[in-house]
Amino acid sequence: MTDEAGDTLYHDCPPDVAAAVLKTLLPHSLTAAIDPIPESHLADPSFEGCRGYIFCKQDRAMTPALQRDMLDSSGLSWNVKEIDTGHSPFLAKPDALADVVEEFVGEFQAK
Amino acid sequence: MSPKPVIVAFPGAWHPATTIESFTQVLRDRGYDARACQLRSVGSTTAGKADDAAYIRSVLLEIIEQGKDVILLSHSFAGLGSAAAIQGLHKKDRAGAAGGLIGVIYMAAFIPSPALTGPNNPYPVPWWKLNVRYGNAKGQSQEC
Repeated sequence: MTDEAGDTLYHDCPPDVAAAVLKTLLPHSLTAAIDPIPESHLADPSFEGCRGYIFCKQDRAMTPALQRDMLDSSGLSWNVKEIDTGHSPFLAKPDALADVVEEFVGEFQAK
Repeated sequence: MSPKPVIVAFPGAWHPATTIESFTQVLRDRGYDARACQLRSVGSTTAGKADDAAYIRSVLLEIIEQGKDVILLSHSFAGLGSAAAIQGLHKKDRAGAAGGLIGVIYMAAFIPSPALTGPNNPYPVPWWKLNVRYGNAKGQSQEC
């Protein structure tokens, strides 16, 4: 299980970082895993043009196909920016991720 | 030039705030007030998605009520509580009051949709079901 989690979540992270983070993971509430999803307000008009999505191209947890399916099924417009990482870009490529976040900052502020 | 918005970062299932702290430090090094947070459902046996939504909302509101602009960065599972948390918090919804949410960034995050909502709540990710059965990403069983 440990190997699977590490491989799924941190395959592209420095091994020492992955090992350290893996040790800190906590159990997740099963209640939260299965209870109903509260009503989404992503479709509220104010968020038009203010919905960013960071698409992780090497993600083994939330696969590219699943990310694409979520985006398409949402019925909403998203500004999608890709990053060439697995599921944890904040650990694998933090500077590249910060660049992407800063792009979104500029775009949101321009609205 | 507008002042930089506050960035509130919520990683997803199993991930305490410390897992995204090194990234929020990168943002702080670039001049942002960046906050590493964690979902209520992390490390809990009872918290539900509504608890996550309420907590995310409270974090955002505390910043907004200081008159600051904020961006919510939600990773993975955090996308589910985030979609409810943001209700009415956009700057445009604030009737001219200072501060507000100026956008949301979903990072490889779940997006609520009709396919995901409802009491049966199908989780399309096989490894998630495996982890749910085992309790956490490390396979430790969890009492509930």
